[in-house]
Amino acid sequence: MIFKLLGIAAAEIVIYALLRRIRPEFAVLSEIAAAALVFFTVAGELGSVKAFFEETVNASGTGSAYAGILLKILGTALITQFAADAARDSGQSALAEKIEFAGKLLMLSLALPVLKAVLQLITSLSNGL
Amino acid sequence: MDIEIIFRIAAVGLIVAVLNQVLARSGKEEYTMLVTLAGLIAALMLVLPYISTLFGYVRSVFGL
Repeated sequence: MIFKLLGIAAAEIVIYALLRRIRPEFAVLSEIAAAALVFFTVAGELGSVKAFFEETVNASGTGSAYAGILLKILGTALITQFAADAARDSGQSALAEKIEFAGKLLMLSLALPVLKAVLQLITSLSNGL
Repeated sequence: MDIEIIFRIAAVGLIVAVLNQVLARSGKEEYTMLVTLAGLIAALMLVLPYISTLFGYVRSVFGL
């Protein structure tokens, strides 16, 4: 499996170098296509990791409410990283920073209920003392 | 889900580059921009369904 990734990366490096000199816009497109391709080759394992994660969390019983939120945050982080790196590679570092800022904001808004629950827990504990 | 999508994009890029050279030599510079645009759109048509399946997959796995 890792060799397939190696093959894709090697092919992409050569094509990017070739296209950047002739037609830079196609180089960026091949960059994005290669990134998607790399992700697809490991997508199979992602499913099994997620199954294992859900199984253990449900077995624990307590955290299962927040497992969905955690997965959502992971997904947003993954996509934000994908977009920000594509932007940074094509020279748009300012745009990459904006995308990362938006991603962080989204993740924070996703995590708000968890933070609220923790704060309530702390206040209830401190009242009990 | 194969590597040839990268090669296809490279092929489109090369064709556009060669066509631009031919057009430039034959004195029709005004068409080079059109050829570049057409090539770019063709490459986009290749990549876009690929990216949408990727995002669809991530959405389904992470429940976004």
